[in-house]
Amino acid sequence: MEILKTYSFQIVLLGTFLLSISSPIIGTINLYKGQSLIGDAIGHSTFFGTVLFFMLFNTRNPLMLLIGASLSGFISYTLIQLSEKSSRVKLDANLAIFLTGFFGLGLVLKSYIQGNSNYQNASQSGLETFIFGQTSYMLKDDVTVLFIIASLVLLFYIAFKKHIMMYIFDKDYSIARNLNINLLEVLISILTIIVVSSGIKSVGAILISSFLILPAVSSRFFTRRLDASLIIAILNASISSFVGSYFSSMYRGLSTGPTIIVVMGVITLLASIFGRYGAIKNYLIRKGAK
Amino acid sequence: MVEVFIVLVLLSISTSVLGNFLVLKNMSMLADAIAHSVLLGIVLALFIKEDPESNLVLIGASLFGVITVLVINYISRKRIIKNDDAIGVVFPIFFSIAIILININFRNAHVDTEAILMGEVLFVSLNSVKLLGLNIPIAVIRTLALLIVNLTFVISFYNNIKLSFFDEEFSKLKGIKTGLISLIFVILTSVTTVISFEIVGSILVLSLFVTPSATASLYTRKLKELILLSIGFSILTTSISIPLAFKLNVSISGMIAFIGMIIFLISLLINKNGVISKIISNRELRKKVNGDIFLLHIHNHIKDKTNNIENKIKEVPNHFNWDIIEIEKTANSLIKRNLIEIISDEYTLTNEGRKEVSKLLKEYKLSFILKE
Repeated sequence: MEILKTYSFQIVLLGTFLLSISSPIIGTINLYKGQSLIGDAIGHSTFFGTVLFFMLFNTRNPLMLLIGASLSGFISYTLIQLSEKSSRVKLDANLAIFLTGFFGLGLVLKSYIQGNSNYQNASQSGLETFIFGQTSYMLKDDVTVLFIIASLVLLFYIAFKKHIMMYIFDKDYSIARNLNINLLEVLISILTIIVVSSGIKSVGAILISSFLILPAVSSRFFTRRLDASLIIAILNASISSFVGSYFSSMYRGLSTGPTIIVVMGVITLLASIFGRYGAIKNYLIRKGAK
Repeated sequence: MVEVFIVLVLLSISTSVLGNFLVLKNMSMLADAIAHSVLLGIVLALFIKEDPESNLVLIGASLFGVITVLVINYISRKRIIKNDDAIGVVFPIFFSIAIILININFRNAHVDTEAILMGEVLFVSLNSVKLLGLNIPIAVIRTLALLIVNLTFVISFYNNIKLSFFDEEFSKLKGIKTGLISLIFVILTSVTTVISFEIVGSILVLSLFVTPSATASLYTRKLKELILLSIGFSILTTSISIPLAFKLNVSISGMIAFIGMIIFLISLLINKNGVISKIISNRELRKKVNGDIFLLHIHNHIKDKTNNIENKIKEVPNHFNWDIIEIEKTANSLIKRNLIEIISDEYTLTNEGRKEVSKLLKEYKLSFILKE
């Protein structure tokens, strides 16, 4: 329990809380858009940019690495969209091709560094923390970046709420209403890429996509209203992050990402059983209907 | 390097044979889910018997692949969440549980997370058996067996698979056990994934399944051609990646995934419907249309006897909104085709040209407007 009082853990708490605001919001939007796995593709693709920027600029500055991650995430995302539009290859195959392609490229670069004497300072644990996350390494700079991102996402949501709701739930109507769909989609894409890139440090590349999806899924068992579901999603993400960070700080060998996701999974499972729209209620309704 | 090459070629053919069906049925990310979830099966099997080479691992992991697919199908069938989302929910949870179990119990023991994720294909030669006087890596035996099994399945049940995947209702009417075929398919995918694990790692298995098949799908729609082409692309990818990775001393599996993506991107551009092909065919079309317009124009002025003014080389540009270069190009190509010639500074039709004009008038259905 002592650990809760330490400065470094409070940094971790603050950082993951901020992430728990930005991720569920963007995740919910993507979920309702039907593009939930795009976060997976972006997450894996960021590996390339992160390693590249590390190589080029010899830095571990979180902002620089975030930019690198976002750039390769963005390139991958663009290629996915282009391939989707210009060929008969469907979205799921495109996701698979580019996520493995860019991740593979990242691995190539990383293995190049590992053998190269110019990069003797490179830490070998980099890969594991990239893949599984390690919040205990979070610093004040990371928190600042996460704060800015959370603010951007919140601002976006508040400013465009009506547009978002129209776009998600009745796309044709919003086109008829002359809503600027392109702008909205571009903004959502950019924010998704930034949020995913920023979350990798805590939750890791493989699991960042479920960090976006799971809270959104769990909230569907409690409510169908957008505002309320966001609040529940944020709650889920925060609790999971807190518990996950706590345990991974306590036990050094434990990676944060999997711990957070398991907690989220438990919450989601409980929600699916006990929630307002969950299994028990459904069963009772059906029984009552007889 | 040869052994690495053999293993990877065998493996990539096994995966692309199955991969075609995955891609066609939009199951690519499902393969990703299987690839991640089998880790939990492996870990649980290791709990029971701590021997990474044992068959229990293979069975346990494959079982988990099947369980994952069943759970995902159940969730999406019950309309709790859509299929894609079900994938994004189930496999991360299984994968996370596996990682936690590894962290807690197998630290520094038989399970190395980095090897799980990236494989260690370089070490295949270390584990060999003596067969017929040669040292054959176990991995070669395994991948060869896998290839035989996969190929046998696909070839023997080819028609049944084709039907049950692409016309489920009809195949049920025909009495084909579609459920059984799907089950075998998932089992084979899981087994293939597990074997690929130790060679290329979990993340890049997906590349072997999907990328060559997707690339092949850009060139053909026929299933047999698809399968053959995807095998071709697998071999191409491996043949380029392995020497390159060895030369640069970098990750082989990473290189395979990356090169596969590059080949896909190139195919996007150069295939029949690709961007570059479209640019080329557009250009060809424009050339043809320009030539036809030019010819018809010359013909018209000959018809109404204004040719000694209008068909003069200097005058013609004023009639078209094209720039000089375009006009010269068109004229030159028509001259080359012997359709027009220049006589006393004037464009005029050759005999060939006249024949071409009457053909064009019919083709464009202009006979009632332009006199022949």
